[in-house]
Amino acid sequence: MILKQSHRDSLVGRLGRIGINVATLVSVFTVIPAVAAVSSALERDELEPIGRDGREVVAAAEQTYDGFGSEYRELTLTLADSTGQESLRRLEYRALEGEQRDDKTVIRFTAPVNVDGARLLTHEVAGKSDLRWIYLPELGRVRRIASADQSGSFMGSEFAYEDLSMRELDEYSFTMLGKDTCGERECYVYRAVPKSDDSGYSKVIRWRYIDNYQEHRSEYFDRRGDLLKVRLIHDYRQVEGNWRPTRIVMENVQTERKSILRYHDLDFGIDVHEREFSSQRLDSVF
Amino acid sequence: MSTLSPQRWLITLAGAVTLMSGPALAAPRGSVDLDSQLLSGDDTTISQSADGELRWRGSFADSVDGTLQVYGRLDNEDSSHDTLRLDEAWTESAWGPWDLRVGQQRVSWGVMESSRVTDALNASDFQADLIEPRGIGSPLARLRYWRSSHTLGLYWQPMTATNVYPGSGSPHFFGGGQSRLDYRSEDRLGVRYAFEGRDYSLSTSWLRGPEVDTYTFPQVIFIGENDPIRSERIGLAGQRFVGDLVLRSEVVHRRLLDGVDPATLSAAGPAAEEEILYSVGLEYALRQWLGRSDLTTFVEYFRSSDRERSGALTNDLFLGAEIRFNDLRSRTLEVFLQETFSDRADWFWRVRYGRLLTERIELNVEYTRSRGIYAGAPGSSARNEFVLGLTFGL
Repeated sequence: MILKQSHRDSLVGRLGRIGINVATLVSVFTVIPAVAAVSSALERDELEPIGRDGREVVAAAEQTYDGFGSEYRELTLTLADSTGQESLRRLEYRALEGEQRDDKTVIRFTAPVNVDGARLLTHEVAGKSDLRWIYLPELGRVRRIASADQSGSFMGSEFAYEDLSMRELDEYSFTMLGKDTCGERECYVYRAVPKSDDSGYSKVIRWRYIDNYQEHRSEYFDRRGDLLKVRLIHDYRQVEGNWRPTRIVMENVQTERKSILRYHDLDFGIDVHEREFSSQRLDSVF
Repeated sequence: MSTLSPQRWLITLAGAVTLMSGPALAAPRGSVDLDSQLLSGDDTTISQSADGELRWRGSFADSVDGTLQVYGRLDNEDSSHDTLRLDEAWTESAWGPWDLRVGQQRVSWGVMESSRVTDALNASDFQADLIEPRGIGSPLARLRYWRSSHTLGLYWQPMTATNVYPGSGSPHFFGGGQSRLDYRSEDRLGVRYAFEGRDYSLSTSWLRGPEVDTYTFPQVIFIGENDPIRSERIGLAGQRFVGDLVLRSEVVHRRLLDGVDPATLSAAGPAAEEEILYSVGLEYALRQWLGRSDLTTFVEYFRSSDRERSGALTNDLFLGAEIRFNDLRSRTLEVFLQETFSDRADWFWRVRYGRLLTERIELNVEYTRSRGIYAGAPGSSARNEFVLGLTFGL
């Protein structure tokens, strides 16, 4: 809209009298279109084009995960609601790399009191729903969980079960959107559409660093196509050649809740046998 | 305390080996529950109880682990509910596809959510809660072979006796003792095969020896003989996963062995020499059905081929629902009810609410209304039970 200078000054004065800061208005009317432009740019592939296929980039990323053998981490999971109140969960994580990317993991919960001693076993199956079992010490038995539970909340957090796996090559269809700036670095940006009907998302937009293929951030869209969650990955460490983040923040933009996963004590090449990742031994391992 | 019996030596040895693991022994973990109970039927009583468990886990060599778990309960209203026992004191060694666990153990078979008719290795502690009893540890040696999705287990339970009384003064009480009804003990043998498929699981089991629970033989309470109720059980359990739906079923064929005359077991009707107990059920989960909450529903039906026998699991329907609010305080709400369709028409329903107060303290509020479920319940009057409890994590 083009205004004559005199009309513009008069308008600024009137707005100022009713407490509206013009600078704020300007920023609002420039930022929102900018965000919309970015979002729409992602959809219209207006990012800097790049001659790589989305699946090719993801395959390269997954190659960086290969070869870890076995892994141990201690984690804290902080849940925060929209008022800033927090609650803490503590867990130990062990993983065994599978030959066909069918990794197995055991998570042992140590806090809070209602889950202390519980263990969750996951068998990842490429291209299919994960298999999961849970051991509850108060019941003294192992219970298998329905595979369709992948969209369910993990420990009441903003992380869904399907968010916890590093592997995505066989779980999504990929479309490369282009290249974008991630701070001082550059990222590939691609769209991932879940193949499974059990997923809680219609699509995921992911940014991966060009120099090492690690994830920078992801945006999750619900089944209606609205932005649901944003995941930010911080503080990568490279241990024995394996890149691992030490802090992951998942924010639900619709409810303003947030969950933060922090990794401590990271170790690779731990001495574990495959039988320790079987459902039959879940009540006795670790 | 009476002299330690041979079975106690087995338990004590396994426990000692576990404790002696020294620096590899993990710090004890466990919890203590403090409950205040208001009970009304013909009379109204208010009582307090405390129960808790401590467990240690240790690794003291490559692929050799141990666990020690002590459970205790004090009831200020009825001291016969008091107990102190070792529920677990075992050492386990694993090598290649084999593992061997020896010592006091609790083992759970079956797939149903409410009651598992194939789950017959351990006796149940009904003293604290008749509806959701706790398993009582039993001396057991278990040898398993594991390969991919297949598991084969051999079980030997030495000196097993029918459980009628797990409180103080019973054989389960630490240090030993005599049950009110002094059943002779015998060894029990079992075999179990299990397979885990992509969308289903299946297991079959065989068990021979004394029945450990009177839950499905209520008339045994009245027996004056001290010969154990011996049986041979062949069980089958399976579940099938279809999206958010889980279908489950268990079947057990139970045959009373020679030496027991079913006609002598009467007060609530003779027990059939052979009986088939079966159950079918389904579970369905609705994710984020209300905001962030998940709702899981259960329907299970139990039937006995012995139409003459009445009592639990002979013709019962169980309905349950669990809501997980997935919030900061891990709030949960459970509602379940069960009715026995018989002349007695026993039933119960229970509502339970739980939430965290802090990382280490959980609040539980529970209300149970029942009729006829509790032995000795006066006439046909309903019984109301309100429990307010705190769980402290260690």
